[in-house]
Amino acid sequence: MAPGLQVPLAMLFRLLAVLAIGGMIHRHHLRVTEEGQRPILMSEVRAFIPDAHTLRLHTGSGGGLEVVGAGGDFLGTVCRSMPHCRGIKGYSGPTDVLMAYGADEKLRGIAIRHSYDTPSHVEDVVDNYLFMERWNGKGREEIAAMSDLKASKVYGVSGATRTSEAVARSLALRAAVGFDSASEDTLVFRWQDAALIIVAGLGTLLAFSKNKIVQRRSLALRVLIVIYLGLISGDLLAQSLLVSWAQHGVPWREVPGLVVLAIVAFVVPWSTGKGAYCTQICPHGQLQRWLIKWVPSKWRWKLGADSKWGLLALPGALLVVVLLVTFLRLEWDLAGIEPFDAWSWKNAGIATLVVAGLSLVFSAFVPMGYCRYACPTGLAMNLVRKSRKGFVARDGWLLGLVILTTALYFGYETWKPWVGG
Amino acid sequence: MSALKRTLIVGLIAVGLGWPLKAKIEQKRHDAELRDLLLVVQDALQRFHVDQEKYIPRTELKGAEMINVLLDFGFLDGPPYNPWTGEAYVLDGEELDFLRYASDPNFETYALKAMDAETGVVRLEIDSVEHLSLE
Repeated sequence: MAPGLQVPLAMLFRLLAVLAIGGMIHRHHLRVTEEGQRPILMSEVRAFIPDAHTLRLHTGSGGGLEVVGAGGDFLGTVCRSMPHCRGIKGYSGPTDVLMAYGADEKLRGIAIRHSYDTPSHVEDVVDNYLFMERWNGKGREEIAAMSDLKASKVYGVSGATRTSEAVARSLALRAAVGFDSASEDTLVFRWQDAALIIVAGLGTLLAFSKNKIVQRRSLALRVLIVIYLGLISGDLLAQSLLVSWAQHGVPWREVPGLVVLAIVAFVVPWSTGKGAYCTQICPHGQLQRWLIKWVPSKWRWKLGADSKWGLLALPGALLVVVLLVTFLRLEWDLAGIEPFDAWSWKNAGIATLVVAGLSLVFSAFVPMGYCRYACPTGLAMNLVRKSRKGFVARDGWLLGLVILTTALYFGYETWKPWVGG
Repeated sequence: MSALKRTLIVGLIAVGLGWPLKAKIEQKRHDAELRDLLLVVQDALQRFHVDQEKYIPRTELKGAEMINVLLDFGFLDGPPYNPWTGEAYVLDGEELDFLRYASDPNFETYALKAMDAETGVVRLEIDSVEHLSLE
């Protein structure tokens, strides 16, 4: 391959790899949320849409699943009211209702899938065709507007009033999912966002500027960054944050400053080959840099080549753990594998405090020890870093992570029973 | 020596991360079993309530005791799977059982709790007042 082509191709590969990993985490999250504890079965759907052949994730507003025919034709959408309606109680609990819409986006019918409510009342509701078919032919917007049952003239089933009203409210609530996000479209820009953008700008300036005035004041600027980002805002980038953004979407309207900081952290190394976040912005990295000056050099441990080789695997292994915890949805707080939450020490968990303490002790004896041998977020930024050589050895790691993510995403139905659903 | 050292370090990393990962996966599997048990028992309990117009008239019961009542009244087809022993409840009063039933003095509400065998911490709970579902 022509050497001139290798660099842009490698950059494209890294960009696509990150987008693919993020995209698969996002879609997996939507899929699992949609499924809940009782995934919608094809047999349930065929009761309303007989030609249904495949169910696939519906990524449009409102979520649910798309119903596709044998020829790939769109036949409608289906969704379940749980877990959205879990707070809507009939006599003794909520009810999970299937809602099936046709291709014309009109409701074909509803079915009660499972209920935590009193069984006899649920049976009364199921047997009441007037109530069960009351919603047929209506669009999502119309059903969503029926949350006021009296105004909508929705009458409860005699003898099972509370159960039927809970079902009606659940239908309205589920139909409204997606519509209510319109009010959240406003950008919220606070002074903290401005401060984070300034921090990102200062870090980039420190990384690139050879201006003598900037260099002369670099210590003061770094102290300022550590004080603000570390001690005041505590908005350090971490795996827990990045995974959450991949799952739920990047909250650029809610925390635009933090999003800008993350963009700088990844786009600067990707486009220039030079890191700004790890070397100039991250307070934990800065503290380790200062430790090199504070700790006498005679205390330093000299790691052998084998130890270095072995330890370099740790941040990569931590990224593998992050992917496994994310896809398998294990009860493991990802904040606990990194020290960054410890900067907000009042709210930090014990694990993150321990990791923070150990990382600083280790870095006191091994210069930049945590950054070099343990930081998964630093590695993630390093994996996308541009290289003048084009493809380099670390691209193998990135490819490995893409392969693992792909296996976890597409192998879901295979491994799901093994971890208990 | 070099290969041994490298293998040792990578092995330590693998064990250090793999061990808690394995424990978390086992916990998730166990939680799934607890969830299945709670769903079976909750359904039977609701049927008991429909029939008797009240929940089991005891303010507190161990899981096996509650299951005995539900079996006696015919609301369970057979003893459910006991997640703490890995086999169906034998109901001999001696098996590991960290399922708890509670009701108010008028037996109008119920609460089911599945606890961790080692710590006693509530892993899953469902009731008719606050924890309405397992989702």
